[in-house]
Amino acid sequence: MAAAGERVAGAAPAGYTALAVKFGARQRSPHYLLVKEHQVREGADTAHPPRRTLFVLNVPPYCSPDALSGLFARCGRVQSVDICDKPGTGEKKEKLTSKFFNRKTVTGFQVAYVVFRKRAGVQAAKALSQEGPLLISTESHPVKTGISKWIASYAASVVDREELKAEVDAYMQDYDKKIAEEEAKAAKEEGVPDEEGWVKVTRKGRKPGLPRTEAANLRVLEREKQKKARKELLNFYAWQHRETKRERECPTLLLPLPLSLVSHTVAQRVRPFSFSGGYVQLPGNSWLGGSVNSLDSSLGGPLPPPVLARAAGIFCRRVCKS
Amino acid sequence: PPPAVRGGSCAAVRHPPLMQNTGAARGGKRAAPAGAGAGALQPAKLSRAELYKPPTSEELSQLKETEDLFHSSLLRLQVSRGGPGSRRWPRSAPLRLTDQAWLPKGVKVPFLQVPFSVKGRFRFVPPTELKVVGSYLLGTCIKPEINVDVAVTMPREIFQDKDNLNQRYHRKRALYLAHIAQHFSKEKLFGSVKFAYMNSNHLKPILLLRPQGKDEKMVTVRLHACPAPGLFKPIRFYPSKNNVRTAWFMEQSTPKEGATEPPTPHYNNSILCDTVLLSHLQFLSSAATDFPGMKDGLALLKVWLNQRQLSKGLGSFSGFLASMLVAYLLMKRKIVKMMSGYQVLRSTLQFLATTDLSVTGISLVKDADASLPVLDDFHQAFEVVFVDPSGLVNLCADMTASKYHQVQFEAKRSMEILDDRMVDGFQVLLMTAKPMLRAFDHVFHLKHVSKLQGACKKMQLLNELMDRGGNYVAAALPFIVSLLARGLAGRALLVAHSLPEIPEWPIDAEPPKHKDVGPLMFGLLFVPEFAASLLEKGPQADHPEALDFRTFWGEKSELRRFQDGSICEAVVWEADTVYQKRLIPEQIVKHLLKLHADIPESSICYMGALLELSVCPQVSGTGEEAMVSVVCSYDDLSRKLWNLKGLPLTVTAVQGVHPALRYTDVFPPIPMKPIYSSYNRIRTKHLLLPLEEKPCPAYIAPLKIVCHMEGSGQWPQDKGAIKRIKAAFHLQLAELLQQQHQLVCRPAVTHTDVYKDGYVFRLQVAYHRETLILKEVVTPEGMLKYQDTEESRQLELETLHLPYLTSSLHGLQQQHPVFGSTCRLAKRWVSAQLLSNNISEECVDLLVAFLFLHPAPFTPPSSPQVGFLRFLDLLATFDWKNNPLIVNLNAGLTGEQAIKNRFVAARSRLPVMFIATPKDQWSSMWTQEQPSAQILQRLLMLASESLRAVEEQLMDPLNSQDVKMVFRPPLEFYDVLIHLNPTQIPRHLESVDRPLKSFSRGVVKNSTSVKILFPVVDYDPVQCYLQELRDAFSDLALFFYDKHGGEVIAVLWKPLSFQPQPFKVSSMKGRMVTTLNSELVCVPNVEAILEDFEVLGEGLVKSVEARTEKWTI
Repeated sequence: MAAAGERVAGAAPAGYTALAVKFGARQRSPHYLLVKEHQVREGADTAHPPRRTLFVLNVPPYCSPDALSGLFARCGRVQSVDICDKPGTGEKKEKLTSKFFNRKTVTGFQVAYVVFRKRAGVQAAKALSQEGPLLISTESHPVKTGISKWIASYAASVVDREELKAEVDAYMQDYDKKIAEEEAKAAKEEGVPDEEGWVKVTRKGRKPGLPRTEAANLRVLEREKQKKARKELLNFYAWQHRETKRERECPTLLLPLPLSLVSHTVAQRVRPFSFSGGYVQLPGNSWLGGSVNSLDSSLGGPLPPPVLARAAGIFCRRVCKS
Repeated sequence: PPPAVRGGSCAAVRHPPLMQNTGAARGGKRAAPAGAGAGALQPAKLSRAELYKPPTSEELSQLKETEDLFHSSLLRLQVSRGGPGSRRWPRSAPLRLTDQAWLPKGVKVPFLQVPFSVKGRFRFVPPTELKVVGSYLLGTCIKPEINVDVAVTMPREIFQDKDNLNQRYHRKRALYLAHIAQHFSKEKLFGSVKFAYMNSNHLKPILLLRPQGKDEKMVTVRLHACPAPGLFKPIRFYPSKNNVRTAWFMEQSTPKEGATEPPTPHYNNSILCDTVLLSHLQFLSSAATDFPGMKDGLALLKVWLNQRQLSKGLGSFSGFLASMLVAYLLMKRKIVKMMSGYQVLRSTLQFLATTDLSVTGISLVKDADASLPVLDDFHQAFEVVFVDPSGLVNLCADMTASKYHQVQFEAKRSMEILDDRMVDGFQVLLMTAKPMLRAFDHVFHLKHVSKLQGACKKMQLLNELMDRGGNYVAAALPFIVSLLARGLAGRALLVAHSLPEIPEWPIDAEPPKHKDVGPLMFGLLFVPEFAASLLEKGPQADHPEALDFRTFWGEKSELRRFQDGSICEAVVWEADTVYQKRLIPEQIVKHLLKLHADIPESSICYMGALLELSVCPQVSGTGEEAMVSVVCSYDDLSRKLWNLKGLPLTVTAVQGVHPALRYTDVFPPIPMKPIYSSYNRIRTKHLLLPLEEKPCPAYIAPLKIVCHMEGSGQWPQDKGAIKRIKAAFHLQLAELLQQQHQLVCRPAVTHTDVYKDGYVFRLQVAYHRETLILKEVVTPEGMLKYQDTEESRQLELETLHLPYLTSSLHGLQQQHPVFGSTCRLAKRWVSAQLLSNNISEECVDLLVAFLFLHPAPFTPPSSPQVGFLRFLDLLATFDWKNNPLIVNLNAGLTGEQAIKNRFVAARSRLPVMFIATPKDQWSSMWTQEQPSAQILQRLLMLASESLRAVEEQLMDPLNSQDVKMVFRPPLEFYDVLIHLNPTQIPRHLESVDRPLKSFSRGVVKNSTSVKILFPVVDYDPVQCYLQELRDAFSDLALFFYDKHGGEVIAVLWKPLSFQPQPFKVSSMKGRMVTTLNSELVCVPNVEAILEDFEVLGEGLVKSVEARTEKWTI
């Protein structure tokens, strides 16, 4: 690392080593791969065993796994190269079985895990920083970019009908089988209590249950609420009756009014109320007893000019005044 | 102070800003009545006793009058004959009118003296009276031009008998003003002293005075000279009387024997106007007393007129006319004094909308005097009639019928808007300018108005010329306009002309000539259904009108037999394409003007369709026909899909989603057939691949179609399985189409491409429950929930919303035939400004749809060009921050206010550009991700700049029009330019400036071939390249490209990314670690990145131009 630090451009943060790479001999300025030994807790990452795995940052977009393994081949035999979007997802990835579906290609700058056969490979790779820039595309292993790459990928996008058909058929057979099995299992369990005595209720059968969806749940809750409201006795006790009556005559209001409106209209007409923030609280019970002067000081100022004043910029009635 | 006000007789109670008044300074309160004394013979200094003596009754009445008339706070000026001012304005000796040597060099007579020789003598005598008249006193002046009109009464002594004849009055008036000007030009008080024509009427020069200093721009004092009252007998100026002798005008020595002299109503009117200046003021002020609403209403009316460019120039509907009209309505009790300003505006517009003054004139005369001329006399002499209170003057004398019809049309339209609850009337009526370019569908300029001289000769308008004092523009204009109106009768709703306007000129310059009005502009507003019809059907051949028709259309008229067996005169215009059909009015205009007015085609500059052809050039026309044939082919395919036999599930719906299927694709696909030799043939798979060494094949766009399959229990209810089943459907569709209809197909996992009629359609199978299944989430408690995911949103957009939008806009195109073309122009502009990737196509479509659905205060565009101008204006002026743009597609919205309220409440969380449609009221799905605030800002800036530039070009017919200018992006703004190799740009031919060199792209136009190897579809190396660039460097830079054949990719570094950052594992992309002040930081590895640009675009990139001076790390 100290060695890397000498060249300013190729500096590397603690724990990493900077390796200069170039696309080909023609390019002048290199990119810098940052490599370090992959470190995880024992057993957490089986695909990338620690000590044998080199973690590589900042892999340029044109650097495919093949090119990367070619790059590190000189340090020892490379067992596998994994390229992904961002680090940390090195958990066991779903193995892609399909040639046509769920194909994801990683693009742009990537990170890579290079797994060597032997531990020495990792150390040797780190030592590469002493050498000149590594070349990704060499005469023996040219990397396709630009037009030739796009033509190739266009050609690759054309699918073979038979192959696709075969794959779809195979998948659907599996799927049908799975569904059939599940249905058979469900039919077998229908109405039969499990070990703890629970009976599974499905939508099929003589007594279908409710579907367990959010919408159904909400519907049930709503219905419950209505039922409850129907059952509740209103004005049963004398005090309830009194309360309702009073509420009806002098309701307690909480009006969300914008301040601008408050200061101009309400203030003019409904003086004797206190308010705070954007809310005007009109007292219900203390209709006559509120403080009278609390508003006066804060509500001075003229009423907004009539709507026509919007055109004030255009009108000029009094040139003289200015 | 100026001599005019030095007499100590200034009665201004408040001091006027422009003229210091000595009276007020001297005497305070008492000076005013004293100064207002009618005798005005007081010495300059009054003794104390005199100053404080009680006012005489005469003075009191004068004061009362001042107060009544002028609301006490107004300026009133009088010049006393014996005041000291007269010493500096000496009377001059009487000289012949033609003897003008007394004028100093610095002043030229503000009058076109043709013919020069005229009898009569002139001498200068100081004016008898100076009075402020007009809107200033009434308090109805509006910005930006504050004018104070002052009537200068010329004393009786300078006039002679017969001054009413042969422009003698006018010339004396001009000389009088010149004399005053000569004096004022020496005064330091005035910032500028200039001449102008009153309402651009060259018989009526006026003198403009502006105060010195910063007030110069604020206010203008206009001096009008008028004759002493009672000088002329009114009977001499009745509309049927002659006051210009033919012999004099033609400069013949002796009048022709026995020839009757033609009436000169316009000439007479121009003199009469001067005699009634003061009485009009009194009339108006009596109307305005106790009527506060009048002031507001007039101000609104004037703004309304100004925004429509109706209030300036010869024959304008001036503010004065508006005041008189309000007074008329008051007299007729259509307005009462209780009314507010808004009500006054409304009633006036209502009256204008329903009354045609060119047919039924109105008069302000209260008690009809039998000796006065009647309305019919006026109608015979003038096109528009509005008689003043004296019963002599026609206030609308110079107005053409066409101009009045325009006013009427605007009033009608405005009433509709006021009655429409959905529109903000104030904003639309009074705050939106309606320049002719944006208001009319087609405009054309008459480049050289001097050609109208020939027109006058051809149309034999000698009498009119005499009447108008030789102004051939004013003489010919009414005839030209009515000629055009007749020719375009069925096609045009409105034929309007701009008002000839002559700018003011310095007093030492010669007065402007008639040709100095500059190019005249005409505007046509079309009836969309008939504007483009090929046939002009005339009367039957044996009818008497047939002859008239034949003379009107000239050689173009021919006899034709029609399907109903009738034989009629008819004119058939030649036009093959839609584009040419839209230009039939141009043919008509040019033909008629040549035939009847001798105006050559070369002096007509028709601006109807300059933009369209220059921007979307196709092999023939503008590609609208191509779009129609695409849609036909699509309809055929969808029928075939419906009837396909052997599918396990039936097709329930076929919906197009490609822009070409809603007529808004900039470059609609053209039927193509590949030439095998330019490709790599793969016979085993029946397809072609591009070859590296050949130029990139022409881009064939796949036309996306969504094919909905019937719902059934057989569909699996699992994401993965549905995808497989869809793939199986794609395979099967391909097979069945090939078997049953011999179409060449290429299935893929997500779609099937079908080659049909030279087009490639991309079929996509959809299952309506799939979006729901994609949304399903099972909570840990085992409950099923529906949640939007990226995938489900995308699918919903493609299979639900986009087809709906496409069909709605397709419907809109059926109503408004130019919708598609407008959209295409707008999109072309967006992409030419390199922003097509930053704003979705659908968003632009909706913006244009807005112009057609909510055109107020305009009418829906009937030509793509005007639509495009309004699109730019909408972008530049709409307040995106505070308002949602509501596009009421299919009139499916009712609660617009609810949207607005909700928008305001949630503004910060909503996209910067919010577009609501009936099916998408709350989410604005087409603008959710783009454009970003910065991009929108840039878009708005570009729009307002482009609008300015293109309007400037369209308004200037004398220079060559290069309207493509606004389609060439400014590149100096970007950090890096990546130049591309034209051979590898498949759409190179679409670029704005058609390339000189083109390449063989391996296709020929052909739509008949059936059995072929499948062509290369959707292969655009530039787009692949851009995708890779954005994937790799999106957090460092932005990439801009014109997808229609651009040769340059413009790169802009993101400013933040160049800041050194501390090392982070996740943000190392394309950066390098370096030491800065002994600290380790990350910076972008720019040199390597620039080389990456070349590496990634191997074969496509020609060079990378880095403007290193623009950035620092």
